[in-house]
Amino acid sequence: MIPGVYMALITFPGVVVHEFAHQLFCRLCGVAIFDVKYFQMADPVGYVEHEPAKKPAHQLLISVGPFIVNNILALALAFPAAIPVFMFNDGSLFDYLLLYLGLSIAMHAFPSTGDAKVMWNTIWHGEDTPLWLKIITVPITGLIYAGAIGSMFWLDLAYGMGVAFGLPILIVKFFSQLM
Amino acid sequence: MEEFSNRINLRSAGCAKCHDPKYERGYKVRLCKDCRRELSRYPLKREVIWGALGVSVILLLALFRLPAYFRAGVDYMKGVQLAKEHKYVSSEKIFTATLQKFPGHTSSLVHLITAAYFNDDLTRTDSLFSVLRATTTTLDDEELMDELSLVTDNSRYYDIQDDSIRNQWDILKQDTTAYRKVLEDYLLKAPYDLAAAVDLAYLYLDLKNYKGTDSLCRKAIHDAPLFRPAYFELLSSLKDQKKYEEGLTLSNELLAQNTESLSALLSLATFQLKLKKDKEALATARQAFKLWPDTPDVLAILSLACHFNHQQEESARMLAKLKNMTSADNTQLADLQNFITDKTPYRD
Repeated sequence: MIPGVYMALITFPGVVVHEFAHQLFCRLCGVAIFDVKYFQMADPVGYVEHEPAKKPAHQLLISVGPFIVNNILALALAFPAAIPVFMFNDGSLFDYLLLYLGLSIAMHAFPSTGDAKVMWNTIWHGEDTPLWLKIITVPITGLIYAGAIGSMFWLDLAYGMGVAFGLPILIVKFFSQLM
Repeated sequence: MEEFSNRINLRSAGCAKCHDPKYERGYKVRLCKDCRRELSRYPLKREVIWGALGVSVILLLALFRLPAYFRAGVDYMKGVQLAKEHKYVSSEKIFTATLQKFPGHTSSLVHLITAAYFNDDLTRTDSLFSVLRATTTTLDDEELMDELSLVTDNSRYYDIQDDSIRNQWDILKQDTTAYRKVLEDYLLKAPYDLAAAVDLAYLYLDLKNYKGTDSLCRKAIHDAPLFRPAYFELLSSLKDQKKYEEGLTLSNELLAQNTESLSALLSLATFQLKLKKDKEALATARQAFKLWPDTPDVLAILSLACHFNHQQEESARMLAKLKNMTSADNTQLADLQNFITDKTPYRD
């Protein structure tokens, strides 16, 4: 079994994009950042240290930022390569590079348990958090923990493959029925 | 005292960075507005910027190729769907275009072979088989193998299996009596040879031996329901015998194999007109015209169907188009004019 840190090394573009997404949402929400590590060979493999967000909704955005950014970027990169490779068996080296990037980035789309912990403490235990936000935080936190448990059984890899390899084909199939 | 690398002092009485007493209220970390703004814009490392630029270039190149691949993917999936719906004329066009873009795509090639077979284009089916043999050693996909074997199983019926008859075919066909005798004798020994059966059925039809034609064709259809020439001979026989209801049923059976089959649509429209089902005939003729707008037989049947539906203007337009075609058959044209002007009755 490959330890998580080596898996992260192989898929390091995803880790960098993951941390970059946290940083991006901190900037968009005006949250001060104290330190950023895009990649390291230790646990955690990357982090963004920032002040607690004033608004609970900002904390939610910062925590789930990688899910939004990594998925969109992974899909945009893998889509043009998945069609020739998986539909027409006609992939070039460039296509395989795109698929590698797409897979690595999608694999790290799930927020870490550390992200979930911060989000839970800020939102669930926050005094001025609206009820709707508390309610949607519960399944999100649950999903993040489920993803973390699943990553022990390569769920992150399966998820990455689903987004980078499977989703483009599903989208093409969907549009073929619409058009 | 807790300190970060960028000189943040969390226990400072004022701003944790610049110690300005005017810090923003309501935050857990005391920072003045300017410092918070500056810290939220934490600088990206140079390596990350270069990496991001590299990924952006790759992304742009990838997105530039996306529309063409997306179109090809959507078209291919549409082709697969059309083939599932037995619309082989439309699917043949799509798979031909797909193979021009991806010449090594085995699935498209197999689907194209099937489409060519059901479009009764045996020459193309054979040439595509040659391409498949030259490019593909083994097929791993079970569904494709099944699809291919369906065509190979039925294609073998198209040639008489006896070499001596096949080799003499050019000479024999000039003497129909001798050829008939050869085929009758041969079929006693080889009743399984459906190509011989259909050849004999054709000779019987020429001699107006409808019983012989019908029994040979029905046996062939029973033995190999996807061997299409037997249907065509039987349809001709049924038309000559004025068995229009039976012809209509058989045309529909043929159409179920390929809902866009030219021969099946023409037969169906003909039988519908003979049975005075004029509206249905017009719809069938229009369907054929949509697929083959420049085929003389289609123009002729549409002209006729329009005539019987009292749409004289469109009927005349189709007739004029047919007259302008160099490939139009003069006898067919004369017959059509006679039917339209009621000089010759089309229906019994």
